[in-house]
Amino acid sequence: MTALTAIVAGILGLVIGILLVLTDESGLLANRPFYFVLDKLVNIFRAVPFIILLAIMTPVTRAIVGTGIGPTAALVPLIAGTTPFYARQVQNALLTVDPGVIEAAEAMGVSPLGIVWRVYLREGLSELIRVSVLTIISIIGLTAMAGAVGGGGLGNLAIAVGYQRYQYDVIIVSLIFILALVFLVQFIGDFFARKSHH
Amino acid sequence: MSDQAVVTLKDVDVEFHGKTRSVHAVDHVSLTVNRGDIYGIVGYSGAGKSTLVRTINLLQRPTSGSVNVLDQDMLALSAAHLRKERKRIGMIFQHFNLMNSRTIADNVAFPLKGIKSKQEIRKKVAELLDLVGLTDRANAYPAQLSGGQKQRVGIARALASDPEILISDEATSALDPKTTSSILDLLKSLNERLGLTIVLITHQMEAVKQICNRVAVMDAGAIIERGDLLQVFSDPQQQLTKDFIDTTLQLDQAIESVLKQPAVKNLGPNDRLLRLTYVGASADQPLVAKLFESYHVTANILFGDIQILQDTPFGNLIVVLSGDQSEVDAGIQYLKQQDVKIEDILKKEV
Repeated sequence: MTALTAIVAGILGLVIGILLVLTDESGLLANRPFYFVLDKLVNIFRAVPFIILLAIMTPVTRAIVGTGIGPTAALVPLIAGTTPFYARQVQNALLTVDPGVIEAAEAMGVSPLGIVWRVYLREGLSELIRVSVLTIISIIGLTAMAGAVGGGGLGNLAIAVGYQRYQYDVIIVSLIFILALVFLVQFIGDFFARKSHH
Repeated sequence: MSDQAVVTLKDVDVEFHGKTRSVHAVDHVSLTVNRGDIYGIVGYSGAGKSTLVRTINLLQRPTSGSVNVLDQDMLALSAAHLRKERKRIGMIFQHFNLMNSRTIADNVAFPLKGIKSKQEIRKKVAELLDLVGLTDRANAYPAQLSGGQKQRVGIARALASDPEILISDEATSALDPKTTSSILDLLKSLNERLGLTIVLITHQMEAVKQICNRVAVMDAGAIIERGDLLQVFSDPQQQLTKDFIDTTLQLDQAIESVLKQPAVKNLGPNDRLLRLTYVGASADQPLVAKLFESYHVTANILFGDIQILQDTPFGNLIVVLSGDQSEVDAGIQYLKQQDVKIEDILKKEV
């Protein structure tokens, strides 16, 4: 569930983040109305607490995946909650790319798409990896929360079996697994971020 | 140098509209750069130099006016066509603007990717790195290079697409004097070897003096003075131009220290403290000897500076002329006939 969320929200968030950078006032394809709408949309979705998003999205979820409960149903609010978060992180990551380098590429006659691909994503790579790690860890947390409402997984195990049946050892073991997962993601992410930084 | 114009800006105007105030960055400027020129544009920060040259490759679109580069009306081009034209105009920057995630060789190869074959690119990159003297650093990353080396990479990258024009935006302003000089020498040799036309903006008149053949002085968005380097240096019309030149030649400091010397403090009634400026042929004449021989006027040289600009001597002397009043006057007349520009430092009139 975490992995699927990360992939779908990752792609959507990357696209939205790039669009935010491009259509920003000082962006390559500055477009005020477009940026305004997208920016506000991202803000609104980020402002809704996830547990509430889980609840109010049920009709939408049912329309998309056919059911309002269970692991598959939890995917929809997870993606809806993660995408704007990641999009904003991507935007900030790409804004760390030196505007001078963007200008140099423009002066060389590189197209906007070429600049996204060959400059923004390349020069911002180590920063992108960092925010991706942050987002994946946040998804692990959200997934555990989704577990509480029948989403399955480690979170579900910890709450439904451990907490509600007073089996604290189950909570502890679930927690250890979750922590191990977080540390692993962080470790791998740091390794690649360092490798891409010169 | 030919008279073929490669850049023609006509009545270019750039205004920035902020929320609270507007800035008139470029104020109806016309500028012509000919093939083979090294055209220097000097001015203080905020004079509008950068904005002006950015209209050449349309990194900055002018509010009004026309931009003609290499026989193309730049403002009429489609986005795709404009990108094609931009490849004929190289650009180097004050902060180099290299890509930190790529090696030196990859930075130089950047403009060629997808246009030439891998083999051609490898060959071209090797040539360019050789040209700027960085062959041994091909696999280094920008963070491992010094400022001067980074600018050499910037130059190699700008030349990758074989441009006919190179825009240098304060390219030496972040470098120390020695490195600045070597980068300027490199630009000059590119100008001579490749016939590259260079538009160089800077706040350092020193840089202009070293390599430019033409110069324009900008202030508050307008070009206040322009012309051949020698003409502007020897006969500046505007106060700002004079300030720039005097700072470069360190004449302002010289005059200050000369005024403190005893020879100046104890000037006789007929003594004249003068600044003599001369160009070319007059520099070859034994002026001082002639003054004494013909007019019995002694010239006490307190400060002297002779520069070679564009292979022509350009001299500045601060002298005290002593002798009979009439003879001193006659001597001054003689100097004027020799095309020496004379300025009385104390009276400010001759």
